[in-house]
Amino acid sequence: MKTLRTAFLALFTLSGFAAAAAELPPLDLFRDKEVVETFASIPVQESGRIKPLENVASYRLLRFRARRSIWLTDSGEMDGMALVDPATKKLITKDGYMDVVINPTDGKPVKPKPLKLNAVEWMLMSWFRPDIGRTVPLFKVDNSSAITELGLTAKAKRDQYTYAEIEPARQVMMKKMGEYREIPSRKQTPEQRMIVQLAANFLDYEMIMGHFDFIREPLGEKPEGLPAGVTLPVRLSKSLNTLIAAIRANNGPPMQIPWFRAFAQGALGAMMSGNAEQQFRIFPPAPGANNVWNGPGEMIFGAINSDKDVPADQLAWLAQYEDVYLALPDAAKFKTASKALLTKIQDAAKARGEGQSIALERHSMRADYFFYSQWIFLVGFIAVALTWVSPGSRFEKAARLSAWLLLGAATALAVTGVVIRCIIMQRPPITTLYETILFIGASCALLGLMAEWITKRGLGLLVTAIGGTACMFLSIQFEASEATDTLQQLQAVLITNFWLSTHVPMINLGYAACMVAALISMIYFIQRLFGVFKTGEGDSRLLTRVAYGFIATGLFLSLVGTVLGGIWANYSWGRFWGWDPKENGALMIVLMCLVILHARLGGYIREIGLHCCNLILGCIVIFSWFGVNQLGVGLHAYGFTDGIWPKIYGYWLSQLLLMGYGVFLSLNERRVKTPKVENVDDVKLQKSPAH
Amino acid sequence: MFLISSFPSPRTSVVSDSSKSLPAKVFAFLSSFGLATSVLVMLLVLTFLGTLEQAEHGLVASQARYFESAFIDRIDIGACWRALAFNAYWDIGNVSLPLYIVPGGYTLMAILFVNLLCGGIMRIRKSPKTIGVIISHFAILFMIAAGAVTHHFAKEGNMNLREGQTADEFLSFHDRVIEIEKVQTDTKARRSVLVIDEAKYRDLTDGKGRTFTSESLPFDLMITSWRKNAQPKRDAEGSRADAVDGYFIQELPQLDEAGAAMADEQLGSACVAIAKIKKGDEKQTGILWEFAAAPWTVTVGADKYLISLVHRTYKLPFAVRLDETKEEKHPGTERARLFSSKVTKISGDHEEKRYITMNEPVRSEGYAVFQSTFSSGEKEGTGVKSSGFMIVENPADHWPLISCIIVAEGLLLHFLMMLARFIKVNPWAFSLSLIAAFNAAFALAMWKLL
Amino acid sequence: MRSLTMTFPQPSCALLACSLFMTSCDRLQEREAITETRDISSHAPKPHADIPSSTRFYDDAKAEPQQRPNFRELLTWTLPEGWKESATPDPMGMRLLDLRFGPNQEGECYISLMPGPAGGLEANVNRWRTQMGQTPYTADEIAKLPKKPFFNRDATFVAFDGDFKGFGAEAAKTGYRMLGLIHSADQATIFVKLTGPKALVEQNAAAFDAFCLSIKPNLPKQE
Repeated sequence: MKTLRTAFLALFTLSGFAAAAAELPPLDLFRDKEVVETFASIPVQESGRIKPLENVASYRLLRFRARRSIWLTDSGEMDGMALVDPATKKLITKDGYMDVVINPTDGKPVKPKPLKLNAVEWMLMSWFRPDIGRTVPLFKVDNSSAITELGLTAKAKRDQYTYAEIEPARQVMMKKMGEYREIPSRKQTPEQRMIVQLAANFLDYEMIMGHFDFIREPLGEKPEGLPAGVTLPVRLSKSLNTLIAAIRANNGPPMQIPWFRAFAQGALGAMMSGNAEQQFRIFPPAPGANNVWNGPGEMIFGAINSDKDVPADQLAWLAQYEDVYLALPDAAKFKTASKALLTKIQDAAKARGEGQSIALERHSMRADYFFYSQWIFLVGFIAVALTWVSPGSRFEKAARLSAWLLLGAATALAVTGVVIRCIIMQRPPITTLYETILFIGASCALLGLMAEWITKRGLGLLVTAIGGTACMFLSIQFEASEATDTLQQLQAVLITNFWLSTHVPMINLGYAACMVAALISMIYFIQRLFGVFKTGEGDSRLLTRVAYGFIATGLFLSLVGTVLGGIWANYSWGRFWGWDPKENGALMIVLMCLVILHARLGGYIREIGLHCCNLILGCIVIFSWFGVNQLGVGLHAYGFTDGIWPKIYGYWLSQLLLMGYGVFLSLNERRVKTPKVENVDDVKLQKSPAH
Repeated sequence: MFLISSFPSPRTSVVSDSSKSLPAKVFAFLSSFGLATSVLVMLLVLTFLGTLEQAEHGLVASQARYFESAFIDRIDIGACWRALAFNAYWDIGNVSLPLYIVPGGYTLMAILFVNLLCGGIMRIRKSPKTIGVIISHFAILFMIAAGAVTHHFAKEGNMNLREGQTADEFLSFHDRVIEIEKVQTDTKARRSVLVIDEAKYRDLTDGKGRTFTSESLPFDLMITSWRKNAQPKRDAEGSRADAVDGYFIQELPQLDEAGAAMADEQLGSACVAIAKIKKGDEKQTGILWEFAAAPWTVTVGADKYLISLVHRTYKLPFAVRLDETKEEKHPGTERARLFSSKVTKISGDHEEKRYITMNEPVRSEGYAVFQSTFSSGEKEGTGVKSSGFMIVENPADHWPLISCIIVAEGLLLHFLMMLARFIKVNPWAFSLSLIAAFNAAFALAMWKLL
Repeated sequence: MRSLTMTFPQPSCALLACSLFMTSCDRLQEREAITETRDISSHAPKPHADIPSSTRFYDDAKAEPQQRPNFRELLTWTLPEGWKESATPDPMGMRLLDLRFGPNQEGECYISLMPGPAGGLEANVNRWRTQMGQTPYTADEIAKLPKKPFFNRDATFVAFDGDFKGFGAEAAKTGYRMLGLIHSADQATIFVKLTGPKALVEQNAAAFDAFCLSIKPNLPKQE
């Protein structure tokens, strides 16, 4: 079955799509609230779980252009010139169709307000109006030399290309993709990686645009050699079994059947992805039957590959799906048909006890908790900064109160987002690298607020603001760079809610506590840089104490969390400790915390020393959080992300500079103090229990 | 400083005190913060390097070099450099730093054990304020001891069973041996083999050789030309001096195509074996290879001896028969959701049905049998489903759990009391109530989720 | 260093400990007695002696590359006089044997084999009828078709006249005749099909029967 599919894919690469049919529905229909709402809610089974179609559309678009929405302009951005609808030859604008207006003063066309589509609207546009879809700048290319290599004219270094622009290089691109795929991903050049990615996206979009071909013209424009009993227009819900019988009966390769190529192409479009896991599956099986949902593409390919007829209940699904497309261009009929389809799918899913969290997932996508929380954290940061303007005044109090409220709200949003993800997946919060970022971000913010509640000096608020903003920003960047659904099904060994809800959060809380400690030390050195205080003075003491408290917390959480992980491993697969890189990373954090505590007690480090060591601790946390995954070895290597090393180096370098400054400060103090023999007193002062 | 003062008072002054006797000085050194700090720093550095080297040397090799060794013989700076991807900016090539006297993980853990015992248990000031620290120190001692027991006495390996197959032996993951078996004519006779551990021959690279003898054998066995990863190749031209029976040992790289270290299990060692017949001058030569399809046969008179290079075999006190095994996938994907096996445990005449799945092993007589892999048999072309089981015997099996509970309670008590003093509430009431809450939450999680 | 027990280094001097560790290692001699033995379980597979090196090192297969099952080798046949194999490979690659006959090689006869029932008898017969420009048979008509012995069993025999238009052909060839034999079983369906100008086909009808009778399974010898 796989080989057959691959063969079709290869053949598929020989030709593009025929032009869309004559009677085209207006684009506005697919921006209609009711229509968008209906389609967005359709439950789809993808990558082993049931999700709303909105999710599928959203991650497809994110993968193509690193955003979740698209402007219908020639640049793909807001400032471009509106696109022309090929059917009406008019500009597509926010206010409907418009004629081109030439500005009399400079002779250039006036730019009307452009139209922005969200992911579902974009998906509907691509499905029902592929003629427009071809002209939208969709494919983001970060490396223009990849475009040059394909023999096309490159635009800017980073730019967006339409399907129509890439199409001339189709054959070259497919050939190169075949070659480059053989190279292990570690050894691919950035251009090669870009071409492989672009080719995959291009093919996927082609399938999206051709999705309804299997209903519109399942056997091509003017099919020849139709089997007896099949009449035009061909409807697969009626004729699928007859067609399949004819393919089986043909005593040669199916390609010699005149209509077969169009038939297979239509089926590929119906499948909507070259990735088997991402096939379009929207027909739930009967309760108690197997777990795999059926879909139009699967149904056709399944029939070709089996020797049984497609059962009537499946054909009924297909008929229902055909009704939706055939209702066009009549808007009212289309709405009724699509609602009927949605209801039928929802009912069938409900009967199986599946798809209950669709509404919740749609809510969480629309609420976009982490995006808003990022901005509120940032505003909160500004409020914290305002408290520094005139200390002691009423203005400061007001600023502090607003900082509290803003940061509290942002933290609440982040926590809500994480909790909703847990409810959707029915499992503890952390299972992927992406989720560690969310969890650690929310935890840093909470820990900061707790520290503020205890110390009441503004430090905790600052930690919350910086930690929250940084982690939310990072999570959004990370999601865009991965561009796959962040709610993933787990590997077999990891499916155990007890350990996932104890070991994993504990370790990550440990990371969070250590990062907070490092953050406080960064704040310490930056304040020193601006001469806010000197060693042992006022706020510097507080900073040191709070940092110390977070190291202690970090030690407790990392130590217990790490050992719990070992115990999990021991009870699940018989090995307490395997010296796996991720385990070693956690061990390094524990060891660094112990070093700091014991060195402090032994008197080897004092205030500045402690903060310097905290910076090292932060570097270690970053290494074991992101770095060890890049080593590419071991059980825990779950987040293979390109180009993360330079960011880690950047962090390390910044910390090294701060540490260098710390060493300079410490040497400077020693030089000043030694002649006065104050050093000893200072030590005694710090260590005296009575103090 | 409030937080810091809650620790026992520093003892730095002791070291410089010259009036103490030698044993007292020694004790002072062994229990010092200085020793603790330096051992911890060295462990930290060693863990970092050992992690980096795994990328090119593999887990087993770097574990042996860094974490289980008494001394570290060298650091492969080049490999560490590349693991950190620095070579994208500046390729330093192969740089290796010979060391020899830097203590390895084993030594450091031993020193840490002594330091903890002297400083963290014996010498520490005993007061209500330090009770949490003492408890935690004790738990860590226990954990190090558990590590030592596991390192020295635990056995682990795997057992692959096809559906319907019965076995009571499992193979070590990493320990290799040479086994010599005399072929017996009576098929029901008890079989036994002579075993030579890899430690006794793995130094025999390039021209070096060693002769192994046994009174029960009519020949002496000389082993030479050992290679960690190799494959016998046909000597097509017949020109090679080292060819044995038309084949020679070709050494293979231990890195895969992408430049990453291959897993130890994928490496196939090989060596040349020479049987010198005790009576007379006759010699028989053969190649031993880990992945060979069958043993090498030495014929002396009417007797035949089979010699093979294999993973060390351990015996289970009971036999396991795989009755049924299955794999569930996440719907519409190739991702496994569950592997499970129905097995029969056979001890003598007694048979017992058991069920093994991911995270749910079968434990019996000190051994634990874990589900680790599954094969549908399609790749092998047999179509018979099979399961891989990991088998572990570890006397210290449950020690880490005990130690973890103790260390958690100890640290929690200590840090919560510190926090209580900082926020000026009653330390005992505060910490004990929070500890109770923490334990209750954990117990609830265990009860609900496990 | 398995021989080490948990000995703790003596005071203050890691170097001293170092030398202790070093000397405690067993030095391996040039001759070593084998001390370890192991009993083999009764469940263990029985060993095989005297296996040649080529088998031990999986080198047998390389000397004689394993052949993919070739359908063509599953059958034997006898060629009628004047028939010969087509010089050009068939474009679809589905014909086990592709034969030509007649003065200008215009007669064509081929064997093809499909796994499974291949759609059933009715669909196949009617597909051939369509190729000859004829209307499809009903189920009754198909049931009444003559049978001929073939492959140790009965096979359905068809003979149609008409204008032949094979797949991929631009225009139909007029005045053609087709002879065909279909044997359908659960595991596989085998077709023998002969087409050509009517006169030529009638000349070769007997040869076709003889050829069909000569086709025999050539089962691989069991190992």
